[in-house]
Amino acid sequence: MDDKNIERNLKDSADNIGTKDFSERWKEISGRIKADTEKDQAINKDLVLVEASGVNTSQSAIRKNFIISICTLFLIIVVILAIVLPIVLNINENPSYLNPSQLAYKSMSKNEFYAELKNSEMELVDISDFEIDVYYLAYNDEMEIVGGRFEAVDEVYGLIVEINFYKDIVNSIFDVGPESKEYNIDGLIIEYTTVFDDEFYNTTATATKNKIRYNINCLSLEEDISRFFEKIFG
Amino acid sequence: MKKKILICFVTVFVLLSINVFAGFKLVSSDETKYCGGSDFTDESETISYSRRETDSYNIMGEIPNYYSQASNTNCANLAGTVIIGYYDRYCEELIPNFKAYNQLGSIFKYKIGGSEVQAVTDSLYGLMGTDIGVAGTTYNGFQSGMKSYANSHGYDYITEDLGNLDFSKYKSAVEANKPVALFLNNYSFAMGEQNNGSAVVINSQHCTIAHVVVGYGYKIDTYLNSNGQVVATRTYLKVASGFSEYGLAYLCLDGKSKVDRATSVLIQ
Repeated sequence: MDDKNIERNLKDSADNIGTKDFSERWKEISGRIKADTEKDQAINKDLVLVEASGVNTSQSAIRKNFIISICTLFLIIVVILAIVLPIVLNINENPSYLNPSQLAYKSMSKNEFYAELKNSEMELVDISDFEIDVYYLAYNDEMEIVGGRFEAVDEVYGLIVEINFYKDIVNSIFDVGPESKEYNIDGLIIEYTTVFDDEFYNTTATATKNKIRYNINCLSLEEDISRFFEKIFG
Repeated sequence: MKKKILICFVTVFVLLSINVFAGFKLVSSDETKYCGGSDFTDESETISYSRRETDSYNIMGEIPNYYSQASNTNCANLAGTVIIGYYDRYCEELIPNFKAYNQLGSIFKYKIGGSEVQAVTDSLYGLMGTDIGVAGTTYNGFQSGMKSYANSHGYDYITEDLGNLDFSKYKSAVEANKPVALFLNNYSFAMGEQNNGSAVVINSQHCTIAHVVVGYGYKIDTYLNSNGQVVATRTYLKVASGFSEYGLAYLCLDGKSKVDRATSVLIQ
């Protein structure tokens, strides 16, 4: 068959190929064309952004960066709290209350003791009749007098007594024991406990007068030390 | 970015580790500096029992109850002063021109202190090498300072090492009227009890700062049930605490206090 005949046969075959209507063809392929279109748009978008920033900032990458930022912020907060919290928690919630062990005790002569007390607001009970050879005053961090201590010997009543006294801002709770008794001097209540300690009596007592708390430890030859209580608080 | 995250994690770990381990001592007891105490925490325990038996002893007349401010670092100097004040009764030149006690008939009581006592503490501060480099005093500093003080006043300073508290040796020492210096790593003082006859709530306060106290007695409470069997034993050492709130106190053993070193002292 020569070339012209072949060409004629091909042309006839092509002419006889049936074509579908456009709407039918569109119905068949429209779904594929839409999905492809969206995918193409995303890819194009990525390409654009990569070209602009040089970084892969797809949505998943953005989410990943966000999580990392949150984690980093969390870690920074943890570090700050680890340093700050111990400092904050050490702050005394009641700074106006002191413990006796926080006070600075200073020993001094009798004259110094009374001169210093005169400058403070403390109205101490009268101890001038007692034989005292050791006087202490207790100071807070601002060097204000908030208490003191002294020891007295009373040969008349046959006792040796140690007295610690504090302003009401000092937390000076003194345990006189579970079965304490009370001694009343014109409304002033003295709580005390007396035990026999081998050869003498040991009395532990506490009382508050003029906003000063007195914690007393007394060693005596006699069990009844009410005369001492009357002498000091009466 | 991964490298930055890793650096961040390592930094956090190191910072947290420093914060957590800051209180740990990584030195031997010889190098440990003993400072004092603060920030006590309350503790309590309850023991049910039918009968309680107590065995106790302390040196007759007790020992001096000197104390200072808790924030001071001179607890070892103060403990040394307590021992010197105790022995001044027998060795009168230890604290010159000072009578360390009052006596009225059968009543004997060590004085609460005074300027002469403060002078001893100040002297020991230098002799013990306190606060050189780091706050506080080492065990070796305590020993050399005490020896130096005693010798300079014409007396011998003789000690016996009781390890980290051999209790039978401790008992023997105090029953021979020798006070015992106790070097504590952490410790609890008994703070009274509530007792209804069948159960006791024992209160205490605990501190984690290295401290020195002077022991002069002991108390052993044995708790028994109705069958006479021992349900619990609690052992305490009677000590001069060095704190105004505790004074002459009971140091709780049974795991509540850690004794690095105990040393009985004789000055003659």
